[in-house]
Amino acid sequence: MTSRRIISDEKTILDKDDHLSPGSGASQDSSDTAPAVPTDVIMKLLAFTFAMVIVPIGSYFLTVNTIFKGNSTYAGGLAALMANVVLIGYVVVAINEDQTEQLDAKKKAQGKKD
Amino acid sequence: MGALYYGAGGLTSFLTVVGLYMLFTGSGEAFNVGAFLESVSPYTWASTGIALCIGLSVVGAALGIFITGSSILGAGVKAPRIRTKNLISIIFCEVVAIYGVIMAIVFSSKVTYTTGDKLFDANSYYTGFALFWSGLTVGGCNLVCGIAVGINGSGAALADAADASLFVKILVIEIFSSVLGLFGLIIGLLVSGKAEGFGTTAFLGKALV
Repeated sequence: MTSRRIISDEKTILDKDDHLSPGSGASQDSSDTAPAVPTDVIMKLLAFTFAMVIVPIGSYFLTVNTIFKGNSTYAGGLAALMANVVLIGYVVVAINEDQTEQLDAKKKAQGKKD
Repeated sequence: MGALYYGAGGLTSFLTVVGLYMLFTGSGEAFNVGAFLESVSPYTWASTGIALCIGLSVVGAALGIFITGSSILGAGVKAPRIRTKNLISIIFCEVVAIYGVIMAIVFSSKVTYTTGDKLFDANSYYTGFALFWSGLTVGGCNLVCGIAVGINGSGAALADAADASLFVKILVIEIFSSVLGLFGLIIGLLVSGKAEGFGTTAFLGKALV
């Protein structure tokens, strides 16, 4: 009896992959193909990333020979300040966006109740 | 690990034996730190300082983004609502690298071309040493600051995924750790601020007046 073949009723993983079970057909058709992150969020992040690179370095080169007359110490300090301004701007935008999202979620929940 | 210990120990005893041999056979003057410092070109000090400044800053920022990013991804799988808010931590890490870039630009504006005697006058030595040590200051501060911000950001992402009200509290701590890099930047600006560019005859000009 040691050489008896194992005959399994269950399908292997490969078989399961090929055939959809009857119940799952509907959910397959209505699957959400929209990107997980909205476009405006990505654009906001890209804008702040470029601003983070361009604003401090740009402000250094704009002011070093015009306003500060070659004093690179003050121009470097201004560049560090501008980097922090961009950073605080991003913090404010991100927290505002989060609050508006929470408000929308609350409105939707109330709308469903009514 | 054992090979490292044996290697370091063997190298140390070899150098000690060679050094003592040279010291007791009349050639101890070879160990002249002052002559070494003077014979190295000030350009070497300045360029090494700039390289350390930008390099260590980027390593710190990269380690921070690495830790924070992996935590945000891991927590975001479980709680997808943490997205824009937690990228604040990434931007905090990026600021550290921007500090290094700004300081490297400020330093490199002082590296001007000169040759001959002017390369080895007091002004050039001061500029070289000032740029080296302020570069090391800025780089070291930003390295530690980037790692601190990164670990804080990782904790912020995980805490936010568990309880949304915790995020602002951890963000305050993250701001404290991001200020550490600013300290190094200020001191680097102060130390390098008095250095003139290579070849500018600041001392000679004062002597003539």
